[in-house]
Amino acid sequence: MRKASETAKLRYLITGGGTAGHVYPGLALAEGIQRHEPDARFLFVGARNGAEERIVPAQGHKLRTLAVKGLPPKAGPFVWFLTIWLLGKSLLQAVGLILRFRPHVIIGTGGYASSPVLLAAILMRSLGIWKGLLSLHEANIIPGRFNRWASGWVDFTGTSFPETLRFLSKKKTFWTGYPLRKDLESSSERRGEDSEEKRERLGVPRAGKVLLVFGGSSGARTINRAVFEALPRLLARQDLYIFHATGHPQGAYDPGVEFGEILPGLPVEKKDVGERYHQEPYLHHIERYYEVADLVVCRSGAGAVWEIASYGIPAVLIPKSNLPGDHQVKNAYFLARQGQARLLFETRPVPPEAEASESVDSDALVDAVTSILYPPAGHDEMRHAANAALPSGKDPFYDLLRDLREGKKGALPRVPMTGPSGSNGATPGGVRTGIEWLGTDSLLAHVEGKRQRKQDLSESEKAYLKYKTDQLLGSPRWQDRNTGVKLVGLIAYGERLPALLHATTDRTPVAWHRRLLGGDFEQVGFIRRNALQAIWRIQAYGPEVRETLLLALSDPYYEVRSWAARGVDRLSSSVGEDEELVRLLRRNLKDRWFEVVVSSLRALGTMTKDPTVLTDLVPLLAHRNWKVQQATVRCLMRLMQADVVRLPPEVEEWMHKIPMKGLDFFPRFPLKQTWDDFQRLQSEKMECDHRSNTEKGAC
Amino acid sequence: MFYALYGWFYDPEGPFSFIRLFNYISSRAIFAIITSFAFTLFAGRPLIRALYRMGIRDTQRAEIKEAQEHKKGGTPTMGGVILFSATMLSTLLWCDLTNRFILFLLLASAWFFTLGFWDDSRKIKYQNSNKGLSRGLKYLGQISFGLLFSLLFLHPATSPVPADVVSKLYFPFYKYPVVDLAWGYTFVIVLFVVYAANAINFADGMDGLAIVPSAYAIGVYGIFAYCLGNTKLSQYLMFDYLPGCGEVTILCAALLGACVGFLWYNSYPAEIFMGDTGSMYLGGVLGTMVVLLKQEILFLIVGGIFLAEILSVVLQDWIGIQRTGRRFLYRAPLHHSFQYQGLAETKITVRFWIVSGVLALVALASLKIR
Repeated sequence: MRKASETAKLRYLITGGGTAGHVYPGLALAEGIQRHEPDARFLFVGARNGAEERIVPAQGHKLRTLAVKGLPPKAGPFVWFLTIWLLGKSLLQAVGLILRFRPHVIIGTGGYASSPVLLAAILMRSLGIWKGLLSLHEANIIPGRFNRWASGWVDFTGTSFPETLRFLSKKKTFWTGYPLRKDLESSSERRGEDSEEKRERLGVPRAGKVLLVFGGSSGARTINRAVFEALPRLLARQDLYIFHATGHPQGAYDPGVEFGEILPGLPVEKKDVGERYHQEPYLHHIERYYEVADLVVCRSGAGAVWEIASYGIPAVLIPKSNLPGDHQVKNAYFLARQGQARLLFETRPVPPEAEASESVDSDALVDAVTSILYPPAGHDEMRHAANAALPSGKDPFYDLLRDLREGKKGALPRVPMTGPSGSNGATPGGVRTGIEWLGTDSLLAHVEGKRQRKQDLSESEKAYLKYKTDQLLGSPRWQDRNTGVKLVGLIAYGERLPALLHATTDRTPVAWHRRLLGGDFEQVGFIRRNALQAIWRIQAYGPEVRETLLLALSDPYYEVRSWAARGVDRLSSSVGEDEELVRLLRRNLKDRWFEVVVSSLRALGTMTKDPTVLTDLVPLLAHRNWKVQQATVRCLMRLMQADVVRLPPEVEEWMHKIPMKGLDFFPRFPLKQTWDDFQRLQSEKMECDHRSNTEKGAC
Repeated sequence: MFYALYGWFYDPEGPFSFIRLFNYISSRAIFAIITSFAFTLFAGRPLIRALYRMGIRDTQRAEIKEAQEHKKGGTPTMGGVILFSATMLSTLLWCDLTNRFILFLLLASAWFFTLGFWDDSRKIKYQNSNKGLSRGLKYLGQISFGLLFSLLFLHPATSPVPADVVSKLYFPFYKYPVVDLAWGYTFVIVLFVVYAANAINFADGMDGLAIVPSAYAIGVYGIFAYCLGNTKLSQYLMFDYLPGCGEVTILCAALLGACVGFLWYNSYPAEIFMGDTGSMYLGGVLGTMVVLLKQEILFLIVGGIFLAEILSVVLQDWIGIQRTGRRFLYRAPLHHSFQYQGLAETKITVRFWIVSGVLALVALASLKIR
């Protein structure tokens, strides 16, 4: 062991920021280091105009800022040039900072602000100009692009979530958890103590239940509105006390003003509001509320998830939608899979509904809250599940740093993973993940596979799939909408039938350059086709579906005409007799694309009761495509079985003159067939032997 | 090797005067064809068994499986190994290995064989036909060969072709060069190399479908090489004389023999597939050859089947399925579209052979009609 005096006066350079999410972990890491090394010196490096300019100096740390900017997702060449220019400039500044401060350790916590410093440090270290430790902490469940690359060049990377390990350098990345601020951490340890006193301070009686609601650091409009709406039903529980942080006003939206407008119309007792419902823009000292809360309703940012986990409070997490990589959803699942949280997705309007923003279903919110706070059973289970989420060890990130500095390079501990990997989403590290990690293509394959194997989807899978489907249906990319439409059918999402009908009938033309490439409507051919399939999969039929089928039978794209006929066939039991449909199907028998003719024939065979159809069928017996001929004969057979038609003798005679010669034949491979038979016999015998060994005379 | 023997030992008076046979292109071409054909015939059977034993079997794309009446997955693949080894053997035995045309073609063979082999072995390793080389990496490999090739081809110090013809573009049925592209010719070279390598890959979807049109094309180019490398014939047919390109005839003969030998096993129902190893190798060599002989545009006619296949894929997959969101044909490549409409696989294959035979005749006509 080293003496304290030797490790004193170590210099730490901590860089990260741009957004608050990258700043707080850095501050917490600094606090953690300070606990072990009170004399350590810190320098924070962030971005000009970033959140760190507000936060870091307030905590009494020194901050230097660089003129670096993040690259927006769809940047033009000018923005690229500017970003690269700024990066080059701040890289030189960073070199100067490192040379002057001469840090022993550099820690990057992500965000665009950290890239120049880390880049400079990596360069300087490989040139031998600077020697020291270089480490990263990735707070988010999905790491940024820069950190993915940089993790291969630093000494080690710590992550908040075990799932993040798969993205980063395999050998040098460890699950260290999210660093919590000191006051939060110590208060979470004292959570159980003198709760009565703490409650009294907030005006809550001993038997009262405390619900804490907040959005992200700046509040969440959807959560606020849902809580306002749910207020009467929540306050009807006489022992419920609600603390609600609404966030400061943003632009035209002021939650306080909005609540003032809504309140007179709400059926609540005015004295309850103020006594049992406390509204603040921002809760300073949130730890005081955490200490007494029985349930938290909030967004699932990385920080919030970890705070809740360390306090062990049950939670209803409402992930913010449309974030890159849907990372709040993944954060939320991390906690939900431990059994500590329940997910509530924002609902999102899909076309044809009018443009509106996301919302939280207040009924679902009330259900979730009451079922957790007033459970038949289960609340305690949720509380027990808490803390299982945390990695072991007091200060894993600091331990790693210290071990490395003392030269114990081989002794880096492997944080144990959470369990065996599942059948899907398996990762090399063995972290168990769910379908929320699948990309759209693999998600579709997963659902299709389950359907084929006739396995049911679990409730939570269904909830996620519905959320994902809504998201996809509203996407501007047709490929996404197409996947969404397919998912509607696969998960039998009947509520989205209007969206399917809209997709099939919407006649908005595409841009001219897509028309040059053969496009027609904004809802491209594949979407219209797959929407029809989804309609027959959810087995919906009514006047609007009929209208859609009629339109689809005259669609300009051949696959849509064909699949519409298949739809009539599949839905024939609900369709019954329908002259208009039959008329269009008969018209489609003259289609240029044989696929349309074949499926129209199949549909006619199951639904028509009209004997005059024979006049259309007979010429098709001499069609040049044998598949059409075959379908015609099948159709005739069906109609004869149903006593709709009977062949007149002259037609029968005429038929004998048509060359019924197929252009296709079915190859047989006798050796292969015999071999398959043999193998089947073999496996039967094996099974028989096995059974007779275990139980006597079973064969 | 035998050509070198001739150079060293030929003595018109001596007992081995018959080795003068090794001097003539025609006789060496016949020897080459026999060598590679015999090699494929005899080495084919044990090789198929060995490939099957090693688990080098085909993994089919799921969407093709649905269209086919019987399942072809599990057939040994990487038959390109036979094609490659037979051609190499025969070339090393019968060609003049100091000839620059031959050296270029050997480089192309090695390059594209390696690329295809790499692709196939990944597919087999992961037992998934989508896990081969990524499209970008494949194109990168092909384009970088094109660039290297054009550098060596256009530079006077290494070019096999006289400097006054090297960068001129010729059209079939027209006597005079259309345009001199100078270094811009690089673009043509890269285009044709990449085109040929991929075209055969797309056409390789049914038993015997890719190999016969390739063989026709190889035969046509063999004849062209013979004429262009012959002073009298080239003068008579009014082509620019390309000294030394007659050797290409021998390599073509070797390839032709290997193709026919491969068809022995690959004909319906196939005992072996050529895989990317074979299609990339054949395509790469053909693409290089059409550039070396300065008959690029002719390849669009000779390989009309390949053109149709690649156009169908571009229309259906690249434009339709990926961008526009619809199908323009029933299926792609073209042969699967016919199959979807109910034609038997063998019928499609033989019809494609017939068409490519007619196209080969058209191409041969361009020797005289110009």
